[in-house]
Amino acid sequence: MSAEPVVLIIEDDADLVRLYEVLLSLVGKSVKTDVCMDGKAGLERVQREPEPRLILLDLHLPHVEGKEIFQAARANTSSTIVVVTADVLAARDMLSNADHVVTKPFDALAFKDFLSELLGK
Amino acid sequence: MIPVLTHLRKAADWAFFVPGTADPDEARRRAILARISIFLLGTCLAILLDTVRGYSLSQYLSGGFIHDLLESDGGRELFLGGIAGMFSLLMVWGLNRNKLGALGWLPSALMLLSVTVLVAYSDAPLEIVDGRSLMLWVIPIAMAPLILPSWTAFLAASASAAAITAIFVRLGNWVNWYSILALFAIAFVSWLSARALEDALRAERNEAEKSRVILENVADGVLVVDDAGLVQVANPAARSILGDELARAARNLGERLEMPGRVVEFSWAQIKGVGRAAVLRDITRQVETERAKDALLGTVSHELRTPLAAIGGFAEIIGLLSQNEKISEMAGRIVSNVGRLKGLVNSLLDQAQIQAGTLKLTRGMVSPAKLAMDIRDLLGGLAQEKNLTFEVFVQPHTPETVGGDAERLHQVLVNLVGNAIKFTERGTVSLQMYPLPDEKWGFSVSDTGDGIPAARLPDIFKPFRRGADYATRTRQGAGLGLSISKQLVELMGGSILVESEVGQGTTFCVTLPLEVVR
Repeated sequence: MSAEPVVLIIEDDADLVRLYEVLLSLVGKSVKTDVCMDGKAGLERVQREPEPRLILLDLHLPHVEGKEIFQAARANTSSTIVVVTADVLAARDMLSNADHVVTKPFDALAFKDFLSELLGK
Repeated sequence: MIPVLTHLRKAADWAFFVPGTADPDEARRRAILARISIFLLGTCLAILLDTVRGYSLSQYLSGGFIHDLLESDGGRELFLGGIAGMFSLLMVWGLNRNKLGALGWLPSALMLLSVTVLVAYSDAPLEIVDGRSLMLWVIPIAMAPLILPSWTAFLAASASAAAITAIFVRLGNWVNWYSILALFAIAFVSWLSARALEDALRAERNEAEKSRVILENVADGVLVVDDAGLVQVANPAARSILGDELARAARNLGERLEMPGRVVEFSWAQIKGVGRAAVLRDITRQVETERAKDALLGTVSHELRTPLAAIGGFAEIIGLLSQNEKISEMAGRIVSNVGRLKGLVNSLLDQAQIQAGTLKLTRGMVSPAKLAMDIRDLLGGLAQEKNLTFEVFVQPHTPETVGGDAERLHQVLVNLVGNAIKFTERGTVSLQMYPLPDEKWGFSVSDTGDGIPAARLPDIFKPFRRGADYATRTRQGAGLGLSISKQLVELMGGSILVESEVGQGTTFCVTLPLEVVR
């Protein structure tokens, strides 16, 4: 039996972190959440075990930019990366790289369904 | 060959040199005097050489040369006259090379005197006052307004008349009135032509002075750089804008030059025979404002979106989890208002990007039919809520796929159809897709709403205007939708037209290039 999947939340806005946690709790699957509230912590975390199943990644973060974390995560993990950003221009640039790009503000219930789908895989 | 020319030019520059004077007319006259004196020096030299030409080398060697020459008939006058002429011309020329201040007229007056004396002694007395050489008096009269103020033509004429009269009286005659009258007539003509020249030059100088004053006082910098990259003209504004960077600016060919704490905008023009000229402007403030605007845009984009996501997200969850119908309903209202704010933020961002010219369209394949169906699915419910008939019609022969940015086309359609539904209370909203000749296609959105008064039609595509504010109903939106739609359509190489009649309805027609993806 495998350990419960880890969802890594890299987001500097505490309210959004809380929103993600609530949405994940509503998904109805047993997951462990790891939260990094700045870029530096996020960068360190993606280079460490256990490998997250899913990474929710903000782009503009303190200390280290999300793009750098994205590259590190790509190099070190096989995690599904969902870029969630308020910067629509940066989001457009990420479209070709990231697995999924979601722009803020998003439809929370649709996002919940989307998370559920990703974790169900 | 070229070095010889260079030396000749240097020699001419040296020979024709005159010092600068405060009065530009005096400078011009003295420059002419320098040329006349050099020319006459040459003439005197030629006369001297011609005089000694007849005397052979053997006579020269036997030592009797000068003696024979001075004894010969006529040779003596020519030789001594030539020597005296050269001496006086050299004196005039040498004097003319000095800064003379208030005595600037002196070399010219000496020249005129010498020429008059020379003329008086140039022929037999009777010939010079009443015969073949009478016309020689024209020389000092015509020369006077060239090297002295124009009125001196009359002075020269008076001096010549006095000389003629004196000689004439000494020969036992009285006054030669006809000749004197003729000399004054010549003086009058000379005076007139000199005056005409002086007037023209003065007008020219005034013009140039005016241009100079304008150049000195204009707020924009003017910089003229020759082909070698040397600054030819830099007005005070240019000097104050560029400061120590003048030389660097002269080498700059771009439209912008960033200097420490300053941004300067150049508009260059090539001027034939001169080089390059630029009008330059300090746009530091403007650039700062642009940057502040970009920063504001970033703030709007990022700092508004993140809290909106939280507000909307939690409201949705409350709506989902609440058992209380009222609370669910209110949460729904929060969610729908977050949606409105999101739309506004998107519109502001689009508008700013379009204005900044940074909005990029993606290129891909678009199916008009699918676009139409998507719009029907998206907005059909809204039309139904208002009991409107919503017709979507794809005409036969509409291309199956066209080239374009699907997302932006969708945005234009949502805006036009959404507006039509919003501003129509009863009747029909219809969307038509159709083929067009000349590699084009198009769609139209028409409604049976209130219509837009003709006077307001030109304004409806302007940002932050709403064609609907004549109506008593309150309507939502910042009035950016139509402006953005029009600009997006134009970015796509298309055009948008509107026809409307109050009480009948409004039709928007969009024409787009086909650019069918092969």
